[in-house]
Amino acid sequence: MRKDLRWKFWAVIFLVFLCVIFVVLPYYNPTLKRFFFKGQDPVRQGLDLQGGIEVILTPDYRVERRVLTGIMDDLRSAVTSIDVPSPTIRLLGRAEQNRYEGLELVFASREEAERVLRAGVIRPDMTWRSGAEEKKLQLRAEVSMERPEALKIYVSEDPKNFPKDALEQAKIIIQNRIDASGLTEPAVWLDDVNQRLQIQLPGITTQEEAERLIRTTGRLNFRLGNRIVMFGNDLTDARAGIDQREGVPVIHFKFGRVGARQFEEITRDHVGEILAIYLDEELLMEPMIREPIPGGEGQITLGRGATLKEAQEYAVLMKSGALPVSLRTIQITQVAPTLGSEIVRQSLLAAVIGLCLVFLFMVVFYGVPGLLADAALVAYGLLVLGIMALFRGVLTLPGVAGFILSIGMAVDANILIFERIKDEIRNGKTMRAALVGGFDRAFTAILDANVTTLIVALVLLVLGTGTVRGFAVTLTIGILASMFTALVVTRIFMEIVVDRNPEKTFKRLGGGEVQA
Amino acid sequence: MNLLKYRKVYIIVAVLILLFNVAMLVTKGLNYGVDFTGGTTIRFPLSKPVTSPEVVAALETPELKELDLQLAPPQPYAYVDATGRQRYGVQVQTKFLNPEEQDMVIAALETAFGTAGEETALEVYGVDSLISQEMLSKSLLALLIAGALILGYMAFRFEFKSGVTGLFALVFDVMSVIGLFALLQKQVNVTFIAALLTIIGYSINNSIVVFDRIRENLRFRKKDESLVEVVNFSILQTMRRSVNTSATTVITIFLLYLIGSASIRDFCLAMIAGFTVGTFTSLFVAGPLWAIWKDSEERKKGRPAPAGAR
Repeated sequence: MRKDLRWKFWAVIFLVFLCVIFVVLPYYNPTLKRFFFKGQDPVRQGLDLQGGIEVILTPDYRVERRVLTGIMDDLRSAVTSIDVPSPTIRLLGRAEQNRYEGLELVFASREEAERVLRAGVIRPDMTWRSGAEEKKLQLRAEVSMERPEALKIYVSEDPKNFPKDALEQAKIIIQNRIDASGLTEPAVWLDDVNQRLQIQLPGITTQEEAERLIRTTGRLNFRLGNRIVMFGNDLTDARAGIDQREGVPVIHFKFGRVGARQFEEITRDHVGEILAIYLDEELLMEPMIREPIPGGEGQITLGRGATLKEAQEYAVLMKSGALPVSLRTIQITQVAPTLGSEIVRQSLLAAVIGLCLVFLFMVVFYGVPGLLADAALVAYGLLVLGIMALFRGVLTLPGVAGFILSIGMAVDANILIFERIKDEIRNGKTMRAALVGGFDRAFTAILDANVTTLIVALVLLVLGTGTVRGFAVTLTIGILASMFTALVVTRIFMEIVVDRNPEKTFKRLGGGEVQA
Repeated sequence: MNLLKYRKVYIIVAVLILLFNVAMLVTKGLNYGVDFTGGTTIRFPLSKPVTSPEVVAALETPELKELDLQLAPPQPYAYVDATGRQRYGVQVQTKFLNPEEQDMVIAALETAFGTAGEETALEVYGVDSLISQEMLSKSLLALLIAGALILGYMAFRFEFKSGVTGLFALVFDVMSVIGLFALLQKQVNVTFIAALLTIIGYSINNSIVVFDRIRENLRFRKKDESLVEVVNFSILQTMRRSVNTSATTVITIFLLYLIGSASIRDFCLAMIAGFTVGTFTSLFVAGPLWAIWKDSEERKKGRPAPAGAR
């Protein structure tokens, strides 16, 4: 055998072997699955094919501890104004992201509690101020069922504190974030009346994974001392990088016009102070303001010992924190595939039968070369799955459509090549010459067809969301793999056959026939 | 075989079909599913898990059929509640329902599956569309940009006219499927978009294969050969490939159509229609239109071309 053919052949076999280990074996071997994919399926399937986890979010109008402690004195003075002795005040409810339901006022006796309630000194609305922050609060008082001498005061933020379309904005931000995280095609529905976001996450099987998303539903804020001086709504970009001079990881950030002005003022007036960055009540970073930052663009230098990965995580958190309102989870459920598992099974069966037919068709029409093309198609399928698994893509019905199109194009490329070889043989060339000629002549058509389709796929990949993106991902991978298999793999296989037996003629390609 | 003898007829027929499809789209409009319009979501608690087809069957009562619920595939769900008990339910999405219609749907579900315990609440609420206006306009923009880029690439690799005729064939293919769905008033949802995108890819592929042949054959064009002859010859050469390729793909999808259920069927129908039309356009529209255009240009210039002119 020709030396170059030998190593090319083994290279292809090796590549296919790698794909089998990477994509096929993990389905049967839990150890490999854990090793490569943290226990998940190599190619995750989307909501329509496999279902996923559904999270229902609603705006979190409960208030933070610092706000509650801030209004304690006001409540005390309201109570003492009608000559009731000052009550013991404590936080009401369980802490969730450092937010509480409200306050509990414990009086000496039941009569005192009722008197306070009747007197109406606890007003239903209140305004709390601290630094640049101002919050309108809504208060609702009731006698505690368990302890009659106590009053429960439920405190929540007035929804008017937030923009009217806050939830709509939140929906878009969350959608973009999930798209960016590589999970294609989350389904996000907005229920405006009940103020809820219903989010279905594909390819996720564990609650922890879903919760990682929930952790980042907070609101980004900047604090000087303990006062919030600015929110992150207007943050347009945050990305990690390495500082050229110092070689340490940094986060570049950028504000929109309004945010930029605000940020400039703060940094100008507080040089040398610490500007802490919080996500809700969780401290992310405590950078020092080195100099005034005009124009809304700057960078945060992480301390020594920080890794680029950490910087990337912070950047994602900062960007995703630009929600106009904090959200809380009210329910997490496991959802079945939207297409129904029955349909998915049937479709899979149909796909297998269809592929077998295509394989058969190739053999019947093109004989041995058809069989070689089938082998190349198997390699193609494994290659596509391998790349999908490598990029942790999620396969959905639109994705399958993209896959079908690219299989079609892969088969098409083979048909084009074989028809061309036939032409060459008809023109009286030897098998070997016809092979070279056929591949060369089919090349331009295959190249142009694939490049144009690739252009479409890439544009859709960059600009598309949801469905369109899922389609574009598999199509892009599929086209690249199909060009490789048709132009390289099929060719190697056929050249090997011809090389072994130069007299070999492919009957179905018209070799050895007398042309009419 | 002289395929191009009636080339002008083909193009006239193609334009008429295109106009018909546009008219269908304009007059009848598309039957947008809940993915586009938003609708009512009912979360119905169940005592045991069910499958999606079971729920579809339960909702196929005569009265509900009359309502035309535009049912999206029902989605069973399961979760563990605060007390640690395993709970089940199914989410049913339909068009916007008024209270009486809601009650009818719930009654049908209760007949089929019984009422679940009191502590698990039935929920009914409206949701807005899954495909937001922003998403739709962004996708349209993406398609326009893609179209412009294809035109550019084909003008570079072939010539400007090939790009224009290729795009015409593309628009024709896509409009045929849209027109068919408008005519049959089939539900249009997310999977329909996927089918359309696939057809776009396939249509481009087809045109390019034909133009590639023409490009090659023109290089070896004899002095006495007319342009139309070359195009005719090229199309005949690619015919076998076109038929073979679409046959393999259509067979696969047709199988899926036979086996699959309603929601898959519409997807397959769109694909089969698109692929079949695409095969015809590659033979009777893209090449012939280019031939007519190019030929009239050559005639205007007068053949043989004067020295110095291209």
